[in-house]
Amino acid sequence: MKRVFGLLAAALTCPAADTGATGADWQHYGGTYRSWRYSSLNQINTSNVRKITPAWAFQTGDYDGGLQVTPLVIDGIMYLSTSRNHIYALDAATGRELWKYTYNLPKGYTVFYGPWNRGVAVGHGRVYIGTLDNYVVAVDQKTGKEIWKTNVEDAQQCGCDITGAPLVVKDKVVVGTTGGDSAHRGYIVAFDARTGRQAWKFWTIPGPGEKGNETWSGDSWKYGGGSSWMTGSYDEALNLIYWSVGNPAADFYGGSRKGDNLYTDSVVALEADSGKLKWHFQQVPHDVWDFDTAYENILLDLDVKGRARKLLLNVNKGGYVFVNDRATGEFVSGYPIVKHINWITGTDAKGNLVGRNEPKVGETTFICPAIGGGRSWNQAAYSPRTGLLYTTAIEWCQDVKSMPEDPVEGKVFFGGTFEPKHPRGENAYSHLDAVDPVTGKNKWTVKYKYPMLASVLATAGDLVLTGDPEGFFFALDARSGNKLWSFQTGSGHRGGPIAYSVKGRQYIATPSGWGSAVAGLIAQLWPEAERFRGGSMLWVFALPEEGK
Amino acid sequence: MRAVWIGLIFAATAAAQDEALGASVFNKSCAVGYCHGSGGTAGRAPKLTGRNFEHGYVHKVTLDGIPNTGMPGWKDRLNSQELNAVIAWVVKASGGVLDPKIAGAAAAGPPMPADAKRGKDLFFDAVRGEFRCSTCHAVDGMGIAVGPNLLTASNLDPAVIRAGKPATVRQGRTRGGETFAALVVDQKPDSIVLFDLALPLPVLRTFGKGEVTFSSGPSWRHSDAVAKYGDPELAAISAYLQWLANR
Repeated sequence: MKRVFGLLAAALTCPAADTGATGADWQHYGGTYRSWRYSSLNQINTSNVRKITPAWAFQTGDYDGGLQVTPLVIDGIMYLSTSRNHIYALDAATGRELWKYTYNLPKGYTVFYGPWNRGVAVGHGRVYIGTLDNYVVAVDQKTGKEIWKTNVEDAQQCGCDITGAPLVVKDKVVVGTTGGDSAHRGYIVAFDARTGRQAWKFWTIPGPGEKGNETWSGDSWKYGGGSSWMTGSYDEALNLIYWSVGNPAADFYGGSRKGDNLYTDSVVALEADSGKLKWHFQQVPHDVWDFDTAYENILLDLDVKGRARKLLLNVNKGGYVFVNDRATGEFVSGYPIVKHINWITGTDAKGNLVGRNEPKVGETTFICPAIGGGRSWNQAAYSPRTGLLYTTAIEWCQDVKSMPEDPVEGKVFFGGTFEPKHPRGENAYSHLDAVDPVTGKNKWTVKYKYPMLASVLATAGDLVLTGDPEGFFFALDARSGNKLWSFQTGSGHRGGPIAYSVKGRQYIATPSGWGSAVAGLIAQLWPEAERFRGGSMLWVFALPEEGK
Repeated sequence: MRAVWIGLIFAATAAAQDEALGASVFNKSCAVGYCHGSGGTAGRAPKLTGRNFEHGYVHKVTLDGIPNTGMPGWKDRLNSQELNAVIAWVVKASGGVLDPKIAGAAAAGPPMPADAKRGKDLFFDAVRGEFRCSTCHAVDGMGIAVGPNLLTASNLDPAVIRAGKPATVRQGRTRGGETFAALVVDQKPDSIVLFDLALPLPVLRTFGKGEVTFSSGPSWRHSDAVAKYGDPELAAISAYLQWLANR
């Protein structure tokens, strides 16, 4: 038995070059630069997952806002960030604390929307984090001591902060900020990983004289949102960084920003060294629904109609998937992941939206899905073994009232209000689906009463793992969707589970800690959700060790 | 009698207007996004309905906010009429009772003169990107406090602003031979904390003992930092700073 373990360990720590699979480490927010959230480890698999038990657990003590992080593991050390921007380095086999970096927010600091943090990046001997007061900080990977700290822009002025994990690409650390619902002009920024000096800045809204500025009427470009709040992906061969740009502001009222509003609701491909725009694809021209292009960009190499394609898959907040050629930006395919979708009827052959159903100014318009998204920002997983995409989806709607509003810099700029509603004819619910990534063809669906808001992990053990708001962390068979194992972690799930190995032993880790904006919203449809317990704890599971 | 009727109708109309204003302010400022939700029925921020708030509590929290949370103070964001309307609206929405001693007592900060307002816009001008005053100076709770406190400056004539060259900016040299303009913030026995001013976004860097040495004569000049402002613009910024200092 021991020999089998050894062989497995040897085989599974060497993923093929340039794939999206992780090995012993979980190096980047999305696993690898391709953001598959797929681990090549298979020591824990469909035949033995019922036997896994907690190996260790870690209480962060920083529970306001929950635990939204996807931890990283590099060379047997876990890097874990908490909602108020503290960082822990832990022995990934035992949970022993190696160091803690304590972040001090200014006294009495007003946090936008709420305190949360989704992760760190590691590279060049440093650990990088973006903060609630809009700093990017680098600390020593060995000691946790601060090395540099740069303010991106005063948070009170821009009405923005950093909650997403940075991405280290070559000699730079790239970050995005929130602020899409504020009167603010967004950007994606890269810093010199060594010195903290700003290396490049890509304005997500072009300025006067720049191409694309003509897609904004009047001065609306100055306060047009275009945040960059989640982490991007990177194609090493093409040397392109892919980042998602969020909604235009004001969210629900477009009358004062006539035009397509580039590059909001777009995937942008930026040259890694300069931040120069290579191509863009705008999913939602002139958005009036707050349906950000904000989430992960999953990089896949697949055959489409007999032709090998380099693809990029992105789930729009409106519950619609866009698949593009990632070398050129050309639209390849699109499909909905929710049943209740009425803001569009679909897309044409070029990816243009068809059948736009816009909120009418001064009236109440019933729109599906709700603002929290046909899926929230919690990420999907892709398994090359099954060829399937595993994503959560939420069936819910809302009444939107669109109202004219004047911008005040850095202040909320919504242009209306919304009220979550159940879909016509049935109660709101969520589901976890296995679908063909290019066609959207459904392989299996698992339904659940409340919105599932945690990221998904897929493994070479043919497992799909995620957690629910009631605190259960569970494993499904990747091929059938059958539930194989579940465990009550004590608090709801909003973070990202990962798999890693240390000295040949595979672990599966998950944050547990209910919280977030969308988590707060759901009590409007499910009053009992007010009682869902908060927390901030990391659980780590493994198979029992032989002879112990 | 007729006058009383007119008075009553007038009062009722005014009350309806206040209520409409309160609802409008609440929708734009409190219900929005992920905060208190439509009608105060909860979002990420707490539910307000059914809480039976005391008027004095709502008054204080609306004006000053709740430190260390997502609840901002609104006294500099709304005018007095808007403040009073939204406070009354929230008290009623929570099921509480208005206290006549507090009603109408909320007062916004003093209005800013036009030239100071223009100076404020310029000081924080986002269009200038990194080349704006607030990149290195904090006033009125905004900006980054790298450079000196400008509210205690004795002379803010444009020429003086341009020529400013703090003696505290020195030439830093790392052990590897890299040189850059440096503003030392803190020197401890085993470390030095400084602002690296090589590029317009200042970087707070921490070096170990002996990792960086200093000499005078840095290449950094304040005139470069303010080069994107014309003299009339700097004069407006002076007006803003003087207004803040005398407030």
